[in-house]
Amino acid sequence: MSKQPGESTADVLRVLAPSIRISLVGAMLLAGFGLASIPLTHWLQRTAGWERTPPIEEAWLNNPTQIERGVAQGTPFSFTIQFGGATSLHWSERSSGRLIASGQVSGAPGTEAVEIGATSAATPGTWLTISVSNLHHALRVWVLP
Amino acid sequence: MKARANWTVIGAMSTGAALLLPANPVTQIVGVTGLVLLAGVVAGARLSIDAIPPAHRIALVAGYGIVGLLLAGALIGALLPILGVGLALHRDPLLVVALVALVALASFAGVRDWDPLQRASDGLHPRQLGWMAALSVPPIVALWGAVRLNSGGTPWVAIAVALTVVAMVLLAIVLPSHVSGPPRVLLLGSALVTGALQGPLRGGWLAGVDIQHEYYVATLALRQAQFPLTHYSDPYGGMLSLTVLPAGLHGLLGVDMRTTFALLPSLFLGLCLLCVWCAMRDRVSPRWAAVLCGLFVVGAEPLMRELPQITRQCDALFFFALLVLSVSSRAIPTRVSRITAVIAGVGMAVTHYSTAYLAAAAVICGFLLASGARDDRRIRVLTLPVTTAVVGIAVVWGGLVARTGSSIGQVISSIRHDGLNLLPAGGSLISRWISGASISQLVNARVIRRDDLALLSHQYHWMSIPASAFGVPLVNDPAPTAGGLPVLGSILSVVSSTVAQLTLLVAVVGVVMCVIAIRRRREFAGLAGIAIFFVVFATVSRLSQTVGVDFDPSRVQAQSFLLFAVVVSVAMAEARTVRLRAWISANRWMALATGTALAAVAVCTSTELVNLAIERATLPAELAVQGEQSARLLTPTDLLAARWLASNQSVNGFVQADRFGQLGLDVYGYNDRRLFIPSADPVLVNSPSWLLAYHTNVVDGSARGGNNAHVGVFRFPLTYYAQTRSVLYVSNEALVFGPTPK
Repeated sequence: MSKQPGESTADVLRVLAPSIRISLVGAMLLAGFGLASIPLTHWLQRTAGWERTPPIEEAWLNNPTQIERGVAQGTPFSFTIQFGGATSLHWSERSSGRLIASGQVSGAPGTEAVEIGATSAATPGTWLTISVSNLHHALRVWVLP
Repeated sequence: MKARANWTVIGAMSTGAALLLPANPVTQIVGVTGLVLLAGVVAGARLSIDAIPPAHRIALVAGYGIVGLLLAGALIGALLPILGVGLALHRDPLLVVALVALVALASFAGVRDWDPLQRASDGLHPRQLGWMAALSVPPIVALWGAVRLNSGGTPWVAIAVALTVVAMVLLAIVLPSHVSGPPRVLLLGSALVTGALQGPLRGGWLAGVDIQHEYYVATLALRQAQFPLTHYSDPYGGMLSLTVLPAGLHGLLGVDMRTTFALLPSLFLGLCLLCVWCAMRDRVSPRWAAVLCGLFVVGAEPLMRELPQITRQCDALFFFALLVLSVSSRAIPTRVSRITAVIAGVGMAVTHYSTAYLAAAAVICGFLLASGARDDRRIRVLTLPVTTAVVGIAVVWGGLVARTGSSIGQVISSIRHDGLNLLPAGGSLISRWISGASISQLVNARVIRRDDLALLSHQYHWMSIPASAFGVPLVNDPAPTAGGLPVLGSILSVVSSTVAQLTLLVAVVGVVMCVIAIRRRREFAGLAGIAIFFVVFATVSRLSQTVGVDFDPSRVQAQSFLLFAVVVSVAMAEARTVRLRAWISANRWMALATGTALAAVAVCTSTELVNLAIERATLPAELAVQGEQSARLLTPTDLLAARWLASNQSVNGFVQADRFGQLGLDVYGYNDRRLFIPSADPVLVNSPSWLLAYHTNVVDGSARGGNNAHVGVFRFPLTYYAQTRSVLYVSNEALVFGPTPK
């Protein structure tokens, strides 16, 4: 039934009143259940791994395209360590089995620490490895002969 | 005018509130449902769909609503940038447009006392909503089962979920026809959605091959926030299912894209089942409709296990099922059926071009047969305008928007070059027929090495391979298989294969009977024509290696089975004059018991429960922690490594990974990259290449090589790569190897 001539806006609002009341209750329920679902979602994310991946330990060479084929002896390079579960990590740099540098870094999970790798004491024509505690594999850089 | 609740006004206001409130699962569910329903009922109100049965009405409303929203999103994405709004598919522009539309709808409905939502919901009982809520629990448990498997936990939750799927199908068949019981269609729908949801989240990311590139295209759409995408010519970029849909849901309601790709396909499959159910219920009893749904829909392994990983096709299959419903249903007025067929054609064209092309070809067959049979034009659905519209929109959208010309050209040139290559596998005719359904076979690592050496000498002769690589053997390393049950497993294997072949036979017999029935009932000609096309094409894709690579036979089977279920129901209903009908009437319970047993075996096969019982069968990723399928999954840590590689390697640098490690890179656009070569075999890894080693390579120590036709598993030569290449990135599950030193 459409609005008839002579029918005022107040009449239309009176007719619509039940719809508006139900809509308002619905919106409040929506807001309430919605707000309640947020902590539930976060709990599910934590316990069931639904969306977010917990930070993990990672390490990588910075500017890799520049040093992928090797670095000259004496040229420093940088690498990044990302913190996962551990807040303190130890790293060591070796050349021909010799320890040539090491360090300790601390940070919150998900944060990163940038470190400098030294090559002045590295043996040319060999691999230089950077091991990080908690990581089973090492970064490797070729020291140019 | 009497004061009463106007449900269209309430729906519009509640949907508006859901859009305005902070994003959370509740507002997202209400927002999506509200938009689809309102768009659907407004479109349906013009067609007076309130006169048709409620289940049919829901299917039609969903179809109209989704097509309407997709087209509206595409228009917004195309027009607003012209008007100076650059990021049209971001929240603010979408919210303004949506709120304006909702306010206009609420005002119009309120002032005119117009309530299409109330009219569309006539005949729906609140009890059915209660059952729907109750039956949404199994799908949630299915997701939990996948998460348990991802954390290496017990597979028993997932196995129990699969058994629940079988139980729900059986319950849908044997349930007494009592008003207070759960509606059979809801039981079947929940069973299909539950089974389908066991897979997509396995691994911790999204499981599947195509889905990774789909995700990449969706991230492009989200970033560009307009349609069509700029500087992107892949046909994926022209599909609204991969562009406007995920970008719109994210922009308007904050739905995470992974959630969209994991959950929506299964819901679309649920809608497919609803359409098929409605089409069958016009012909056969609820029990027989449940049997056929169990056999052809829930019992179709490709539909339950493969399709959820090809999201665009799930969306399109809903519209295909809607097309089948519109062509076959007696409960929908002819005018509404014709319009629905066109809308379904639009839906297919904008969501998945292969489905649309197959449907267009089938519709032409249907039109020709209907014209040849001289059926009653007053009730014919596939008229010349309808056929022209369905075919035209598929061709126009596929050609101009999705630009599929090169893909189609590739299929034609493959057929020209290789021929149809019928039944390529060896063995007897029966084994060749059965293996014809699978285009990918597991082979020994020796075959992979032989093929890789051949590729090196012909296709990749320019590669620089270190001499030491040729001394690294490729050691065969098959994944663990099912322990199985000694005798029962063998029996189940035979029974399962027999039922699968029997189902195909029933489908073909159904099509033949439907064609024969045209003599008496000419209105079946349209449906029969569509069915004839799919019988022929499904056979060709099954037998031809060349066609099968581009039109995967199992995916064609999934599409065909939605149609065949309806055709068989038509054949059963029209068989009243032949002996079969008399036999079924005389042996009603025996026939039903046989149908139930066949459906149970089919669902045990589609859920892959049977694989657990068969000795040395491939362990399904959905039900086991280990096995060949699990080794192909991606973990979130694989994605971190792939993302690091993608953001650090230059576009001119070579990148390699094994056949499934590649999937992690596909998420970042490597599917399109010319300088990406999928191989981890040392004799086919270029010296300057970066090599991604994902968790299966690093933790499990195995790798996969091969092509679409065959895959081989070998020990990943981690020590060799660790000794000869730089290591640019490390985590405990993934590595990125750099080039060999100069």
